[in-house]
Amino acid sequence: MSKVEITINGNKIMAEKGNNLLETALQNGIDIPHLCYDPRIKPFGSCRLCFIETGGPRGPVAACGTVVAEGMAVVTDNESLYKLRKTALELLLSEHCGDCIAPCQEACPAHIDIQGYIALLDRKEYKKAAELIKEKMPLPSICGRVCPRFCEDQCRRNMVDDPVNICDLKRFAGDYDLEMIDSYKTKAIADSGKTVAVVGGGPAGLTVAYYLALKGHRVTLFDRGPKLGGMLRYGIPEYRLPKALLDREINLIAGLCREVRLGEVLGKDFTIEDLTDQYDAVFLGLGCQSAQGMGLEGEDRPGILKGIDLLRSVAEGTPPVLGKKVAVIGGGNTAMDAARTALRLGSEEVHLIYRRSRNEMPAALIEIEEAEEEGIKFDYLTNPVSVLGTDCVKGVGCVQMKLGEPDESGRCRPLVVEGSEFMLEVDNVIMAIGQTLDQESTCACSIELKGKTMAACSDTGQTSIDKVFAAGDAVTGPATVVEAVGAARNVALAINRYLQGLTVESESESYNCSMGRLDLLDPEDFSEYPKEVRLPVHHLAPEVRKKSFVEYNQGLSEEDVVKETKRCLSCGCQNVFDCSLRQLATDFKLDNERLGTEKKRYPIRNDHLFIVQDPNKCVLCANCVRICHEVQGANALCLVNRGYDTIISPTLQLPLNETTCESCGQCISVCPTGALTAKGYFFKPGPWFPDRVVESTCTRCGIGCRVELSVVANRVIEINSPLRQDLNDGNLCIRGRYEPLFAQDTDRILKPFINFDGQKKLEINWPEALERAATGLVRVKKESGPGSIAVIITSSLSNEEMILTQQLAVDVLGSDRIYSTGLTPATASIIGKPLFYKEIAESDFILVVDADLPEDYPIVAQKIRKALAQEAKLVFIGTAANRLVKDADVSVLCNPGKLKSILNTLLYYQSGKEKHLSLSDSELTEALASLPQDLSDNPSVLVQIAELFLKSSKPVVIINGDTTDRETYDLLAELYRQAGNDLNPSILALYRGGNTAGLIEMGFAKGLVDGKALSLGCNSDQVVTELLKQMKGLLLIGDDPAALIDLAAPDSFIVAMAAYNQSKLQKADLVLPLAGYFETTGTVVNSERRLCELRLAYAPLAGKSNSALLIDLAKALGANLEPITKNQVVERISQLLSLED
Amino acid sequence: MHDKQYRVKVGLATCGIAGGAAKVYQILKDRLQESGIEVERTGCIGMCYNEPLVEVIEADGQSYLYGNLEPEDSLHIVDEHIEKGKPVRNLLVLGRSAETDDQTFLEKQHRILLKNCGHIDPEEIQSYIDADGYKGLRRALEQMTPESVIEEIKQSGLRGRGGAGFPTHLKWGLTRQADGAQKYIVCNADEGDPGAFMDRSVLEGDTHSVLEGMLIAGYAIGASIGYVYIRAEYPLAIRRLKIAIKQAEGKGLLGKNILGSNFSFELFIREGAGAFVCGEETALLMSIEGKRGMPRFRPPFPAQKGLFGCPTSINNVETFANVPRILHLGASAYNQLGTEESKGTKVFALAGKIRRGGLIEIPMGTTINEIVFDIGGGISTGKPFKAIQTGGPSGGCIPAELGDTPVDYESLKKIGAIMGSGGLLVMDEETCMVDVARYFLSFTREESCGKCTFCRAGTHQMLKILERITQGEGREEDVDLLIELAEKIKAGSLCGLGQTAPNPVLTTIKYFRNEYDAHVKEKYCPAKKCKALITYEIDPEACTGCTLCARNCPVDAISGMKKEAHVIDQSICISCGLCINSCKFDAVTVSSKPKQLV
Repeated sequence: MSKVEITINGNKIMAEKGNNLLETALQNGIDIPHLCYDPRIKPFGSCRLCFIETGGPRGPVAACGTVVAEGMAVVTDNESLYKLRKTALELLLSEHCGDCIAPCQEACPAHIDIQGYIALLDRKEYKKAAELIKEKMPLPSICGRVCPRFCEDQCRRNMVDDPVNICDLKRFAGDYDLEMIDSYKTKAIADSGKTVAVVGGGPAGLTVAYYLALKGHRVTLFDRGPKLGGMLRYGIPEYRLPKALLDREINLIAGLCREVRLGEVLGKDFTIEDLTDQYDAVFLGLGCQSAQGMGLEGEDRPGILKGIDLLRSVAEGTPPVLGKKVAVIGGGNTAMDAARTALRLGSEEVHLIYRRSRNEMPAALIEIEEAEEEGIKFDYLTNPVSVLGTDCVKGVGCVQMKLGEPDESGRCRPLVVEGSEFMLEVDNVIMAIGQTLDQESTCACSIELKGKTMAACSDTGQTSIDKVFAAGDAVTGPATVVEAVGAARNVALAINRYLQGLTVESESESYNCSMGRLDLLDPEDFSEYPKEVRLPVHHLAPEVRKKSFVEYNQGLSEEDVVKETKRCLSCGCQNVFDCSLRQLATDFKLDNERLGTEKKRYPIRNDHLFIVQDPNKCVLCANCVRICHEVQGANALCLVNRGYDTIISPTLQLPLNETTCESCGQCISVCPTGALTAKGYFFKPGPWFPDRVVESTCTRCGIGCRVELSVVANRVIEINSPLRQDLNDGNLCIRGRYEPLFAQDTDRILKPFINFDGQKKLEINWPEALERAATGLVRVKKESGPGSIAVIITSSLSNEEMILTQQLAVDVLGSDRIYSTGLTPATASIIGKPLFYKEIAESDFILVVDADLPEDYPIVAQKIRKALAQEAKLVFIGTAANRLVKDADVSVLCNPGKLKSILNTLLYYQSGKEKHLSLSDSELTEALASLPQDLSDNPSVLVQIAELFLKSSKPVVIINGDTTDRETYDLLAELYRQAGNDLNPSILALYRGGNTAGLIEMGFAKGLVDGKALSLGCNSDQVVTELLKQMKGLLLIGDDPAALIDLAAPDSFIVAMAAYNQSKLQKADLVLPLAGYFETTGTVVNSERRLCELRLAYAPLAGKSNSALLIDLAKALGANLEPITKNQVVERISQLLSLED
Repeated sequence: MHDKQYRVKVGLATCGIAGGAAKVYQILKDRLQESGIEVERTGCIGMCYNEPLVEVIEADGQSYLYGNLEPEDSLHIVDEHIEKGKPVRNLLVLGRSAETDDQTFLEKQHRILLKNCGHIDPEEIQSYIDADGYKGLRRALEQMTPESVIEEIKQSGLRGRGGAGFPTHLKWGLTRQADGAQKYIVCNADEGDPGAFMDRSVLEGDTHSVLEGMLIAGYAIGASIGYVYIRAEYPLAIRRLKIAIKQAEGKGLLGKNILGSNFSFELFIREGAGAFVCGEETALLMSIEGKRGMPRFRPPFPAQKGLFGCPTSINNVETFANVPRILHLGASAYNQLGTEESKGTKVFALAGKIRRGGLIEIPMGTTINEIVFDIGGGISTGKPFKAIQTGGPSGGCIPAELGDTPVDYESLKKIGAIMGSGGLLVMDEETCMVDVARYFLSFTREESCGKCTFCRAGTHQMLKILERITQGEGREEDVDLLIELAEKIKAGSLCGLGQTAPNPVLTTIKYFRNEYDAHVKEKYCPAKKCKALITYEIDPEACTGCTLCARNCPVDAISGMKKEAHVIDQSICISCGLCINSCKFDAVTVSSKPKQLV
């Protein structure tokens, strides 16, 4: 490839001639925003983002549509390009309709990934669920009990029936995390050396301490009380939040701190200056713990309490004595807690006095309902005006109220009803009308105030004093745990930046688009979801619970958790973590205000097995349409309608399943947004953020495509392929992309088992299993001789496993009877020159002989399409038509028996031509007589083929390696040489087996391994049937060899190693679990004869790798085998190659 | 029965047929069957406002053109003029003793291209040949090399009549020089601008001129195959093309070794499904290839890689029709006409609120005022001339103050408009310019191919803003937002459709900003056109209680007793304006105040 020199942003770059500028820039690490470009397909230019300036008269041009030219000077970024791109993005987003993240997450003040943890709970990945929650919320068990559930208010399930019980699911995950030995433990990073003082051990302080400790900072946590927890401990009654649980969850955080100093009060025991002197940063989470008074006459006489003081004294174990009748004044959660606590302290009649009606009450509905259940008497529209009694309380003087016009807060203003005064006789009055900042502490720290609260930046928590930050109730006024945590986490991140010497700013938020708040949605859009009632939570009966402080909410059982997770509608986008549109919108800091968004409502097409199509999220880049057409040749998608109403639809608007779709998922892999997504391979869709991405090799056939496995816990959730590599160029087929995902969950064998009575299955442990296998094999060897034991392997074993198998069979068992299911006599005799697939794309003549490439080897068919686009000639000769035939310049179909005649005739013609001889009439007659009728009638077709072959300069021949016989192969090789080409013909033999080429390279096909003779096997061969009948012992390695069990003699001893259950295994004496594809490391050889690596996605589920299994079995047989290294494999290949020479 | 020999012609282009000419033709044919006078067909003479038209030519060549004929009028003409030799003066449009000023319609025109339209029979090749047809081709093949043909075109100064005005010889030269054994000529007959019908009229009235132009182009660039890409909505033009191709083949003017030369040329017709964007050359090529009509990157230009990847020259109908004239008359005769940069004549479809709407041909450089007043006879409603839109949805609105602007490529570009393919839409004072912009944007929003972001989503956004402005919901920042979006769409769109779509908005804002401001700030439509901003009322003094308005009201918003003043119920009224049109006493008034304020 020749190069041209260009400059991009002033830097000299050597670019490949013919490349477009975008590709050139990307390859040189210069990012230009784009959505409609992918190196696999031709530039299209629809997204209008990749603008650059080349100094031409037309101003900005699309980089993807500009071909590099010598001396070109390119600017990829400047003010006007930025603005143009920004407008393009704004326009794209104005027609992009969907939820990036679920509305529950959006509504949650802490922005917990609710959809994510629900999906993990569904998979029983409890530990990972807790881990995910703790990314945003360090107190899941606590919050899971006391949260007012902002999330559930916005849950889209409300449109179907009732919201998902999100909060109790969180509680379940948190409790699991606390109780399990193997629970999620956060790992702090290396010590930063920075010190932070956190004052206040409530939710805000604990949160800041947690996240800063995780960043490696040295946190000292101060609290004025004897124990940590703040309002969690003193403001929430035991029956709602047990102290034992509180301690455990807090202790996890306290354990991350350098020091916890209790009983020390700001302003008394230390000053703010002390802290700023001694620490690198200070966080104040002082809370709002002072109860407000009402200013009623006689408010401070005995018998009158403040709600928060009542709760505190109960928490401290010194409850006051209350009379039989108690009035609680107020309508917030503290009022509810106070009323219900009074009940539990023995009061018989508890009134709750509130001046508005139930609808306006600020307490959470669930709290109100529970209080009602417990028998609290609610006196609505009632306002206390005085307290009666002198020494002790006799009652409360009240007036009736009525509701007037709404005030600024939107609540109706209560108005006094004239002449409605009355008295409520009570023994105690508890005032619970609000809390404020503790004046003492506030004054002590001399922070500027804003009204009744501390002035602090709402994003970063910065206060008027340098290095002092604040968050929580002290800043916002009394609020909820989740709000304090959400704010405190942001402040912790800001403090972290401060400590690192960076500018203090809030963490940049990702762009999120939303279908809108619940009240703006159309119920019709949800009509198709079946109703599925929210599971009731187990509560103690009101009459029981009101007498005790025991936690009355029992939470959800594990069984219920799984049921409840299924109710989640998974509203958030499946592609949220790698949506290019969202990323760009975030980078450009876009908002939707200027242009607004359209509420498009195209039906979401969900009818395909693997693919979900949501046109509402489509940006019409047509990547999917183009890859389906240009690369895959399937044409299952198309653009329909015009103008603004253009959408992408399956061809002819059919259901995708009914089109020519090959389910290769290529469309999903090029979609820059969530318009095309894979149906959740997990039962419940994610989205999943992979723990890791592992590069490996696909072994579903012999092509050996490079794959990237995205792994979450013990599961591969997605298979992709790296772009810009010459093997499969980032393309995959259905077998590579989807089959392995599904295979993960199909009936795996995870423990060894034995069969008895041919029916019953008994699981046994590994040592016993290996012992049994060894004993059995030794017995057969002893009774019938080593030659009566056969070892049959699958052709997808790794090279390393193959070598170990050989060692086990030959050296340990003494048998040379090793067979493989994927190796046929035909396969074994073909040794071509290694040929890279990319050479197909670069060739000018391709002869395909009897192979269905689009169906069996789509990756190779793609290379051919590439070559055809460069005007290569394609000839197909075969026994059955396939989709490639229509692209062929010439195609010949014939009976299997006539294939060789055709090749012979071609050879005959070519040799005559080469020698400048013309065929004599008789010679021609003879040659034509052997041809199929239609060809002998019209031999010009063959002349055409021969001429094309002769004219070519870079021809390639592709054959089916599994079926082509030696004679045919030799004919083709001769034809190739005749055409005046390389003496070593470029003939590519393709194999179905994942490592058939490895079998050949390892020497299985050559008759000799380490000087010992080996036989060849073929599972359909009569010879094999006969042979198996004679065997007394069988060691079957792989799932396809297990299928041969039926052929074995009834009295033979069979050890089957398999990964998946199948009924035939019942006839094996012993079954040992094999590791699956994702659980194997090693190498395979692909059809190009390239050594490809397999890498571990996760540890073998049955506990043993296949190599370990073979070594352990050898050990049980008394022999010592060593693991095989990649070097040994390379050595083996070169050794055999030299043997061949 | 008559001593003179008459010729009778009926204009049977689509405009004539729409006006009822087919019936007139049939009646005349039946009536004159016995007399031995053959009634001839011809194309559009240009006076579409006078259709149906019948021309009676006396033996001495004196022509009498009758217009606006009812079927029975044609019998009257036969009875009086042909039988008795007395021209029917009251039906005359042109001709000796005609009492109309229609003569001025033709006086300012210079009909080179349209010289055959309305005169020859487009379905008879001989009729074309008799009018010097195929002389240009003959000259090219017999006396000129391909290079000298291109040179001749260069000398003529001919520029692409599709709208952009790219020099034709350059396009031909590039295609000639491009590598490729196979080259193509494509005729763009996908005339899509609302209100434009020049190409159709030429194809219907002088079909062979287009064929001849394509043949000459084919010879010049070395192409052996040509395609006419024509919208399926032009069935008559398609039929005449088919006839013309067949007749030309019959005469050895198409096919192998044309006129005994080595030059061979085949011609095919491709019917388009009527997508506006397929007038864009790359989209047009996709459509011919059987793909979805969507523009692609240029370069490579069609001259390098066009139809089926081969070098292709795409020219407009009118461009091709000019070619035979140039070759026949010579470049120097042609380039006498027009201005320095814009040579020759240009055909326009004059429409809108104009007295004499139709097909006109003027030398480049004629001013707008000359077109509107001298040729078009002024505004049909008698109200003041307000603006003229050139170039359809890609063009701009030129205000009456700029009426002295000469119509040529450069002058129009200078004031933010474009020549376009030749649509001229005349507007009077009663036209709301915001509504005009909204109309054109609604067209481009529908006709965008949907491929590129700016054109697809941008025109939608602009339309949304224009709609809310016309509905009285405009926001303070809307006009600036429109300008910003318009500029980005022009800069960022992939093809000419998007790059020009904002022009009507930009020019109306430029010249009629006050109207936008009135809509946005005062919720007031000065032209009293925007329905949400106007109120119809009945003046009780003037109302006679004739009940006509009430009977015409589609939503029963008008009530009142017979012979008593009627009242419009504003809560029901949809401001359709049928009442004001039906009232014979000017009792219905319209005022511009938003409905909700009533």
